Formats: sequence, C-alpha cells, structure tokens
Amino acid sequence: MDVLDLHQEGVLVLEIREPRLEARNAPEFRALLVQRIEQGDELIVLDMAQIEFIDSSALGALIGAIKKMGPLGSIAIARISPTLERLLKLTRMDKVFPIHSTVEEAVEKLKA
Amino acid sequence: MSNNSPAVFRMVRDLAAIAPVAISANRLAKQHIGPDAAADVELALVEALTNAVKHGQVHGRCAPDIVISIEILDDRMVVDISDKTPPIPEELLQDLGEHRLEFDPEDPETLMESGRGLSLIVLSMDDVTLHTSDDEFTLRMTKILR
Repeated sequence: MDVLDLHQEGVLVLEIREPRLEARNAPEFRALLVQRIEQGDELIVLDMAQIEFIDSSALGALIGAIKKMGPLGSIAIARISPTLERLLKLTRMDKVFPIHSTVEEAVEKLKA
Repeated sequence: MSNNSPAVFRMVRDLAAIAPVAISANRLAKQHIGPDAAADVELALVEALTNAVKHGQVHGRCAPDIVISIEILDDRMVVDISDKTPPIPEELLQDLGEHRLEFDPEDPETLMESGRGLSLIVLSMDDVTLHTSDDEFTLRMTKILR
C-alpha cells in the first residue's frame, strides 16, 4: 500500500496514496495502522485526499485500528471527499473518527 | 421500458475484479443521476460483490463467474447480480437497515469490525430483492432516478 508517513508536532500524519480502500486491500490497510500503533504512535491523522472510494471492509479496518489503540490514542481523518464524508456519517463513524477539512486543523485538534 | 440495452459484465470470483465493474457502474449511473446517488450504486454493488466473492467460495458448488447486469429504465436503474449461490442470504435481507449500524460511540467494544456491508446495500438503494430460479440466484438492486 502506498502511504507517506510524516510526523508533525508529535502527531503521525499518514497520507494514503491509494484511490480505493476496499476488501481487496483492507487487511493491508489494517495491518499498516496496527504496525504504526505498535510502534508507539497514539495520535494519527489519516490524510484521505486521494481516496475516491471506501467500503465497509475499510471501515472495519479503521475500527480494528482504533480498538487496538485503546482509550489513550486517537485517529482523525482529514481532507476526505464530501461523498465519503456522507458515508462516514451514515455509518456514524464520524462519532469515532473526527473529520477535519485540513491536515493542519486535524493535527491541532489531536494535540489539544 | 428500457432506454438502452443492459450493460452486462462477467466477473471472475476475485476481490481484485470488483473495482473495474464498480467504477463502470458509477460512470454509467452518473449519466442519469447525481454523483452522490451514483456513489450509492457503486457502494451497494461493491458490498454485494464482495459478499458474493467471499461467501460464494465456501459452498463448493459455485460457478467461477458472477454476472452483473445494469439497465437504465425510464425512472430507475436496475442492477442485477446473478450467481449460483445467493449473493446475500435471503434471511438476512429481512433485518437490514440503519438500526444495524448503531453503536455506543463512548464504548469501543460495541463497535463491530464487520457486518455493515449488507445494511449499506439496503440503505444505498431504493429496493433490494433476491430472486431464485432452479439453478441461479439474482440479487436485484434498484435505484430510483430522481
């Protein structure tokens, strides 16, 4: 999976360079997030600007990651398209993964 | 009455084969409905095909290919998925919907990693039915053209 890691002020920003997160690559996405969490990253922003499609398998991968992280950490989502934001709201995932319009805003909120 | 001949796709039973069909369906849908509704069709199709690929393999009598037909009628878009095993278990169709997506955001243990796909199909489309013939099952998903 093509991902760019960048640390900003103690927050890991993962730029997901994939057009689709779905059953085909959701296990890899989950493993990638779990690996970063096991490395000690407790505040993670997912930059989803390049993602055009997400299915329930990808949502499951996100949930697996937040469960792995536990109550001390947090995962936020930045730069998601309006169509995909609609899906996150439909599935109530916006209650679990805060959505921000910019990476900078997401980093600031996670640090607060 | 049909406005065009149905677009028919024959898909190998492989998760990697889903995206090209789904993207084609989205493009076709966008010619008749808005981008959000087209995204709904794509999501429903992906969820149904994922279910068909994952669960069609365990019955031991599955055909290698899944056939997808997409037809634009005057007032609706009809997506049929035909397979030798049910793309969705019929008994599950009766109890799908928004209530299946509920959880306590304060309690991560109530969050399930799986089980949303079938409810998303029902919520994304206007009508979802399963038709059975002697040797084939067809999941029909309909989107009203608004």
